[in-house]
Amino acid sequence: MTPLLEVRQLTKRFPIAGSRSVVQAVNGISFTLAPGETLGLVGESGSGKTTVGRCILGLTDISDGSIAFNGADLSLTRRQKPASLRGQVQIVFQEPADALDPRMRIGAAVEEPLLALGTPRDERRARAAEAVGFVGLDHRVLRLYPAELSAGQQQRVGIARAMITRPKLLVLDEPTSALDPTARADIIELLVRLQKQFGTAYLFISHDLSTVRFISHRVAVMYLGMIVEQGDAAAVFAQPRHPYSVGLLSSVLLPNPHLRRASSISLSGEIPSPINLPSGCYLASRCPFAADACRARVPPAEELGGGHLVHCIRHEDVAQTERTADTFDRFQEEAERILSVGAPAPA
Amino acid sequence: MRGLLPFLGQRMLFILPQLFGILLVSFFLIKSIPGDPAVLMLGPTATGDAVAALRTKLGLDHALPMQFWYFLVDLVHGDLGTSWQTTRPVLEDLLQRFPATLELVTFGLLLAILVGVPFGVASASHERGWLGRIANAYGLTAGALPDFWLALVLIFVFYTILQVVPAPLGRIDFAVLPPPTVTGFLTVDSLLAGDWAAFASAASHLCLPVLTLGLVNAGPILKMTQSTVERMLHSDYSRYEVLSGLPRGMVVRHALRNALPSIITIISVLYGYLLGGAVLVEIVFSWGGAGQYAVQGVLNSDIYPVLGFVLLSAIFSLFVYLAVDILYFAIDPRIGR
Repeated sequence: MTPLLEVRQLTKRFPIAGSRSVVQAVNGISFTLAPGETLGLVGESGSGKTTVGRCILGLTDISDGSIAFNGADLSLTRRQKPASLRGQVQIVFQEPADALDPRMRIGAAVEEPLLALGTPRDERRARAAEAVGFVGLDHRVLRLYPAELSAGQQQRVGIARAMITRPKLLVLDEPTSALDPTARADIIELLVRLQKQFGTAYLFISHDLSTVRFISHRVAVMYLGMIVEQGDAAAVFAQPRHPYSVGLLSSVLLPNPHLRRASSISLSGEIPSPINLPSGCYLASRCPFAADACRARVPPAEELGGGHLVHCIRHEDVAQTERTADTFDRFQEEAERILSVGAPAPA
Repeated sequence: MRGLLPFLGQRMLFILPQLFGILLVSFFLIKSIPGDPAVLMLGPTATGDAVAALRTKLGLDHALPMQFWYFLVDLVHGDLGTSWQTTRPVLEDLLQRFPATLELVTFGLLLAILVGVPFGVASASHERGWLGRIANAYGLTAGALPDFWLALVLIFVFYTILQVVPAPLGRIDFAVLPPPTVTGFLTVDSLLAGDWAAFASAASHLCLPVLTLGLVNAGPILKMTQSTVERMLHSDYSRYEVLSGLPRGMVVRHALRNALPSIITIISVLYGYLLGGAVLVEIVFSWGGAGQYAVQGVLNSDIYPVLGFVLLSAIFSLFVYLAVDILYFAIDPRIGR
């Protein structure tokens, strides 16, 4: 199948004012996203995952590489972008309150993307009412202002606004991190339902690993602007092959003390500055597996089968040290079992 | 507009205590300035007995709290006291001079808004362009220019050299009869009377002082507009509009709409401040306004004009703030609902 989104060697450097050095926010990352698929982009704060999302949306110019969407080049700036692409790529922001104009009624906010598409007024009204229905809100919210809604409702409005153009790709920039756990679960459930209904592809950017595992088909783990490992969500979560992924996954506290993911690999030390990145593997200074070869040059991607890619020359040693763990799978089953209680029986 | 009336009622409730507080503080502050009006009024050759007699007549022999009480009692009867310099009731003097200052300040501020807001918006939406740089430089310069100095420069250029404006002496030519007083604004009154000669004269006298106040006070308005609109343009909802492909003008208009409360705040603060703050410009142009009157009062221990000015300015400021609150209420859906 031809990918919907194809990112090749995407690089983004931010110049530092009054200095010749640059912040290397994104360093040559590549990934693809198929129609209707969810790719979870995970990593710590500052790993560059939000920048990747902004580059895809055209909010930030890219320094190098290419972004192809349905075969069209997305890396051009907004003015040169063909009008036919408008509304095809949408975003849901992290802070629901900041994403909505406080002086604009919900109805006007949800309609806004259609305005740029030249949709007639009556149709805009009808589709706005339909869109808030899709996200489970009453059409009465259309007359309210954002401040009159809760954070969860605001985020639903954000999703309604994004879905009103029936986008093929939706970038979700930590859409649940500003919400309380109940609202978070509701939003995730809503996103899963919308994806089934409309076949939208999601780029789900998050540091919340248990949420990512729940919603993603594939995951990509970012560290210092690089994707160190990517593959099927089940495979990566069960058998992480990059030392950084192992460290990241073992740091997750699942809401069940018996489901702790034990690991013998621990990362020590500080994250290197993205201004002066080391010449070899960025993790070498913190990695217990680091060898001289790691420090010489950035490890190339190695294919492990099934689309599982890892940038580590010692991934086999990692695999031997780390036994396969089904912690996340068990959590997934547990979560699905709990969620299914009270739900209508599958037909 | 549900909730506006209780909101206003609550605000009105606070105005009287606020005014009382302002009067209390200013009365005792002004009284603590050394200087005896009786001595100043009678001159250096007065005898001690004459001074003492005058002090008794003026009520200066009473304790300060009693003097304040008498002042309040008179105030309730609409008597703001008498200025010993003009020998006229302060209220009459002020009613004549306050509109002069108000006219000057109002037109000056309007010009400042007309310069400051568009420049601020333009520089915020072209951050790195030449317009942004000009706006930055202007904001810095306007903050550093003393208004009276700019006034003198303008007089030198437009009166002395180019001779396109009348001499900086008052609000209207001596040869022109002022129009009958309705609002106290000479320009408005002459228009109401249909007196074009008076209007032309009043307008030409207004030119330079209004230009001075406008250019200097556009600085803070520009800065506030620029920084607030810039912040709004960097917010996610503006970014969303940009990436949706909406026209730039619409994005900026929505950002400005959200920036308006801050801009209105700085304008209202400037309005109240300029009543007294324009006094140097009034002096340079011999404007004969209320600020000049109050400063004369301070210099000559003539306290009733000063108190009258403080009271009137305070009432004016409070009403400006009240108007601003109503505006906020009207434009911001988050307040009071």
